[in-house]
Amino acid sequence: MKWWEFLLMFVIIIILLIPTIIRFTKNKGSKGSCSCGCEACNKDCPMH
Amino acid sequence: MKFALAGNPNSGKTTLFNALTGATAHVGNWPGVTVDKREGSYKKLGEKIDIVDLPGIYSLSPYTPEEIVARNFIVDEKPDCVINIVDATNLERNLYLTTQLLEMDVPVVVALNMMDVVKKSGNEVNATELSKKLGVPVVELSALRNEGIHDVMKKAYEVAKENRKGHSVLETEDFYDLITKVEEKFVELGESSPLFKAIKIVEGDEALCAKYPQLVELIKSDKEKYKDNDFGGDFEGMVADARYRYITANYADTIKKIDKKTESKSDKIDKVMTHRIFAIPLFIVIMFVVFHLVFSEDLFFINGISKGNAGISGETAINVFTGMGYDDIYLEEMTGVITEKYEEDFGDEADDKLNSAISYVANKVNVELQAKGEEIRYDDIDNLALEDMEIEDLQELLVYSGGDVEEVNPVIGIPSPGVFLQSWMGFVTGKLIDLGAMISETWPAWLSGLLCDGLLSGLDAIFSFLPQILLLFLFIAILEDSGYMARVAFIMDRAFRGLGLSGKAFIPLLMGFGCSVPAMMATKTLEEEHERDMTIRLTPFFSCGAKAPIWAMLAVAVAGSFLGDIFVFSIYLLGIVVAIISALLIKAFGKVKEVPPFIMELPAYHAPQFKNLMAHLWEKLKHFVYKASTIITAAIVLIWFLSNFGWAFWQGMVGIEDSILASLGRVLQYIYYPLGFTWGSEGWKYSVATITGLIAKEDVVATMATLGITEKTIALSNAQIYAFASYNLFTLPCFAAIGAAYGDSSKKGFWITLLWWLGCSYVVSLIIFWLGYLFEHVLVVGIIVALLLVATIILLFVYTAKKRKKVLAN
Repeated sequence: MKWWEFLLMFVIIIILLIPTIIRFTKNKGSKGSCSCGCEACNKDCPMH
Repeated sequence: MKFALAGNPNSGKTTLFNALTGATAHVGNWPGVTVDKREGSYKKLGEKIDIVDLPGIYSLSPYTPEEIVARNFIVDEKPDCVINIVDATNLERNLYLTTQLLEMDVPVVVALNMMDVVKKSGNEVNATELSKKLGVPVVELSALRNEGIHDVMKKAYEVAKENRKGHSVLETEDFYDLITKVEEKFVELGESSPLFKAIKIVEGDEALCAKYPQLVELIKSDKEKYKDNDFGGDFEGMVADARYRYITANYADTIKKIDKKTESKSDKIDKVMTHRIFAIPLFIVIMFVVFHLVFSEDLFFINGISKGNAGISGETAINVFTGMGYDDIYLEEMTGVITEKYEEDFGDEADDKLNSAISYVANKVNVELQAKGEEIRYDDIDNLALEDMEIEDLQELLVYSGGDVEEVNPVIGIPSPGVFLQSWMGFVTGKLIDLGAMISETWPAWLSGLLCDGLLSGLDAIFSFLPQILLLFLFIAILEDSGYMARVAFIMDRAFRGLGLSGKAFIPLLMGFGCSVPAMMATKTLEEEHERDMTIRLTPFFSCGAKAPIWAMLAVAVAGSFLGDIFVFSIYLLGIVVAIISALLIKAFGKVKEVPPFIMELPAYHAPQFKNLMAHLWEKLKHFVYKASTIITAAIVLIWFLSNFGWAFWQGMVGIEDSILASLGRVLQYIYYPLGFTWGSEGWKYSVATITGLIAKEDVVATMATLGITEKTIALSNAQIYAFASYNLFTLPCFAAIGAAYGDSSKKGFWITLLWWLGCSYVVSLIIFWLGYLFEHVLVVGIIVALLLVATIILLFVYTAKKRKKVLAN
């Protein structure tokens, strides 16, 4: 693998990880669907 | 503006809340689904109205956590209006709470829910008359049918603008002067809802009495006068009695009941469903039918019949359903297995190699027959095809080629709806993988690997089981919505009491079949700390939806895949059995405490609502897709990287055996070695999958797929499959559930719970594997060990029952 292929691979991997990173850093006070992956409502979510 | 929904459990508050706010909060046809308050908004009145759904309560005394949540909200947060949802089919009992709400200085609207049921049964409730007597507006409603919802909100909006002073139905009682005396003091203190608080002080409400000891002192001598009455001076009893007397005397003429001596439909159904002896076996049968419809590859048991097990001619059964005899189907399967094996082993040379193998076996058979003086079987060996050979010769050919005859196990049944859906979904996702492979043909190896072997394979593994899992949850939702699950809690109460749990604890456990997180939160309704800890400890044993893809995958891999339904059913049952044994063990070696009695109102059976069922499934689907696009994708990508690169990753891709993951997995492999499922060169993959399950249980399947293991390539014996399944069932749940357990357990209880999960999974898996191993290899010893185990469990039952009797006697 060439160096730029490594770079491209890590960029792709990071892009794929972004939704998960956002999910765990999301504003805790926000409303909407639960973001911890469980089915409890936002307010009760143990991951918040 | 803020409106609160208050009412008895299972009176339809959450259904109304969902209808008003468009939310899809979990609605269950059993009491106690809502534990905490929930908020949403209603926008059809020109002004945004915040709606708060309070947990169901029977009174405003601070005894249960639900009552405390509801009462504190109304007293402290002063909503602009309280909408009191009243179950019109049980008016008298529901009005008990209404009489207490009326005592607060807050506008109240009474919403008579379930009016459709009242009308259907021929009864009548006079809303105008009731409104006159209560002194607040009364509106008819059917939340389930969406009738009268806007009227309730309009009325609530009107009254919310007025100031309302509380009034009491106790005014004619002789002890009312005590209430007035305290009320005046509260007015002097500038307190809100002075009448309500005064009544609570007279009742001896613990929370308020502790806060205002001077007011308790104020009426102490007056109360003495009542100590010799029928209630022995118990003011709480006197007040409750006065309320019910008032309700009976005043509201009888607002209800017109057709005097029906016959039992209601629900009563008739309950005679069977909650029968003392048949109730639990019926529950087991119902659950089996559900699993059979979802996971069976042989819906009509043709496979079983075909082998003569049911005593009916197999040929006939198969002919009816398939138009073929069992031998024909077996032959077809056998030739398929042989051809596939040669293609896999020899690629382009497969045809030549197969032809020479056919010649070899056919010649051998002819020679053997000749030696016995019999006629030869195959004349034209050069043109002989597999299909022309006898079954026994094909078996010999398979053995000669290094195959295993046991693996030829044709499934000839009609698939269940679940399996049918799964195979279609598998077909579609399979095509997507093919498409991915086609597109990425010219891409660099790492990029096509990331797309096809990583992302697409991983997501295919979990998505192909999605329809099957949705179907399973549809059936569970039907059982819930119809009111049957509430009966299950009731019939389990007696069995649970012996385990130190009440039937009330069974409700969170039942919710555990969906997701452990809300289930653990629902333990808030349990009053005793030890009962809460124990329930949380047992919740993950009730297999959640995220674990279902693991069972669906293993169901296909279990030898003789027509046993898939029985396998999945047995896993769910195993969870319940181990939960019971866990409770017994904790009780046998811990302190025995009696749990409070379980009183639950059984809701009437009703046909499940299509809208509710679809809302349930929609939530599941949304949750599944959301999880797949975030945490599962992240795990798949990381697993792909770790399984394709070595520690010196800058040197480029390596074979899976030299990868980072393989080296980590091999360490774990030894930890799990006694459990059997990590035996063999691929064993480390199963240990890695188990660990990734901590992130989300669906990751177990996704990881296996990324590592090249699918339901068709699992090379484990049945004992190993069971051990793997049971380890994943009982071990630590996902991180979200561990977080919930931490939040709702006592501190000490939480650590014991973690150790329990780890220990229990290891021990149960160990027992299952070795028992299975003995059954597979030395059957007699296996049976003896199994009997000894059963005997130990029975002794455990007897011991704990004796211990409990002793505690009760003391």
